[in-house]
Amino acid sequence: MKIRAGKLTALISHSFQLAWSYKLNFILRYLTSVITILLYFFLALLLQQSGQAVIREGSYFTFVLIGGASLRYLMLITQAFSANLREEMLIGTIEPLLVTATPTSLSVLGPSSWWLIQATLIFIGQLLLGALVGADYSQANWSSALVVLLISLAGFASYGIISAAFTIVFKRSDPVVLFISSIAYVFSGVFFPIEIFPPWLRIISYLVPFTYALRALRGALMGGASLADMALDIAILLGFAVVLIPLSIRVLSYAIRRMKDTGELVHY
Amino acid sequence: MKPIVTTQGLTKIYGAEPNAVHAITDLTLQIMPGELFGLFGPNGAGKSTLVRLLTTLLAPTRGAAVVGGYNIVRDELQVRASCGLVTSNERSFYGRLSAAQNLSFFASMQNMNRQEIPRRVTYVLDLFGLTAKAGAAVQSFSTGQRQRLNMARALIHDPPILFLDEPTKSMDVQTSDFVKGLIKEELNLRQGKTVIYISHELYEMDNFCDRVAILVDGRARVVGTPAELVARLPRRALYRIEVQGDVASISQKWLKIESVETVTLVSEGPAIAAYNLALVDEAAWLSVMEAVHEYGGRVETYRRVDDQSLRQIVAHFSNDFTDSAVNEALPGPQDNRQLR
Repeated sequence: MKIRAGKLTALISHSFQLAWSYKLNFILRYLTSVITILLYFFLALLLQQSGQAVIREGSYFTFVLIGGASLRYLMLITQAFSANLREEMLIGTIEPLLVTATPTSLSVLGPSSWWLIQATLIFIGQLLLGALVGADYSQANWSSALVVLLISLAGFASYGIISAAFTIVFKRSDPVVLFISSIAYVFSGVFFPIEIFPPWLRIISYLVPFTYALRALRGALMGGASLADMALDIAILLGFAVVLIPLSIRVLSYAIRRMKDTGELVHY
Repeated sequence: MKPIVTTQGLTKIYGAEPNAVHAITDLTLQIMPGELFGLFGPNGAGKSTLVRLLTTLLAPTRGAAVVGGYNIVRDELQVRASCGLVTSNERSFYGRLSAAQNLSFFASMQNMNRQEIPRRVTYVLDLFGLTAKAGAAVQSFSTGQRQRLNMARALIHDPPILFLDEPTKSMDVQTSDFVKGLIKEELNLRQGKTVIYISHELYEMDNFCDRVAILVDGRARVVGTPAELVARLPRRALYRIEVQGDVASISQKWLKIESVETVTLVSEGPAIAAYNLALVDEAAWLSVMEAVHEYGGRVETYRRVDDQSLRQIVAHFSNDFTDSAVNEALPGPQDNRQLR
């Protein structure tokens, strides 16, 4: 699919204009992210006071900050497409969008572009703000972290695209986001290392790509791991991406075909 | 000259048998460049489905269609670039953004050159009398203003074909006349755009469209100029007559007259009854009057009520002439009893 740069810029600029038109909502979204950092800080402080704030990877605060910020990132990316699509369906702008000379998939996903950028900004912002209150990145390997982030983003976006397809077909708030974030929340080691699970429960963790994304990100940011050090995690993440990206595209194509058969997208 | 819109056996079926809905059935149609083509039909006739097929919002079940030289299935993007669509949903804007911001965004989605967008936005806003509202949030617009903005959006990329699906639905009479004038004089006659105008309101079609297609149950019952359609109507005169006297005997006598096609009782009071009479031959009117006098009755009023308007044409081609069209054409009660 050939996307003109001007169209991409217009989509980003448009979705930013829309987000900014709800100023309080816009500001609160960032403010919530700052407050969450304080939650992690005091959680870590509590453990520190009980003498348990150091884990194998380093400081618990850095550990939980990376876990929490990554989980939020996963949720924002996964929700972005479907939430925005539902909004377009509700206000009735999806039909005029679909009759423009823009590929249908881009008309469906494109207006969410600012939300993807915003999610990335919030993620990076949370990590950097965390440094101001004690997150330790003294050994961080930033280039490795960036590579892990990009590979993970591809996987997260695939969930988002599947979620958008779900919205097209069922016109409902989809359970994909809730399911994925719940699994990730508990089993991917967001708040505690997965090693505390009994071995049989750990199997679930190993089936979730987010587990590898978190482990690799923490390895790069807390332990300064190079790409070679994280080869296994990166290979697994790439494997998931190779499966999930084509799968999500197929699912979206099916949803669009169905939409054109039933004509139901414009009726929310 | 080649047609600008062609459909060949176009069919759209929603769902699967036995619950399938046949929205468009085997439709073959040709619309010429520069035509103002009216699509008329009752609710559920398939007008909006046809427009959504031709603008690629829906995929056909069978058949083919070419819009602006492009196949609606294979060349979706080119079809969309060739046409503008106005629906009656005037809500379809980003309410917190201004009119200019909305139009600029849709212009970008239509692949318009970035430098050209502000000039075109100014032009279409001016065309629809919205220049003063360019910077205002669309949520502050009245329904009529939004519908004009809707039309401005359809024109933003200067398409050669316009699909207007009940574009004046939410407008007051003054605005509606202004917009229809703009469609006919400026867009159709001066700029040469092909306009496919959809409505279920007959008065919108009269003296407005070059040709009309009447859709009923997803099929094109008839296509032609309003004058051609009138010519195809059977010659039949319709009268409203109010009589006093032995109306039962008089009406029975009327039914025996060969050229009286139908006799419909419209209202019946203690002393007077009103009937609608459809005469195949106008000369039968004399026999009608004679029958009244034969039974000692008196004609209170009578008048010719048929008109050769599209209302009659549509009713006729919808096989609904006597029940619907006559009753709509005539003022009076709707619980008529047709005697024949």
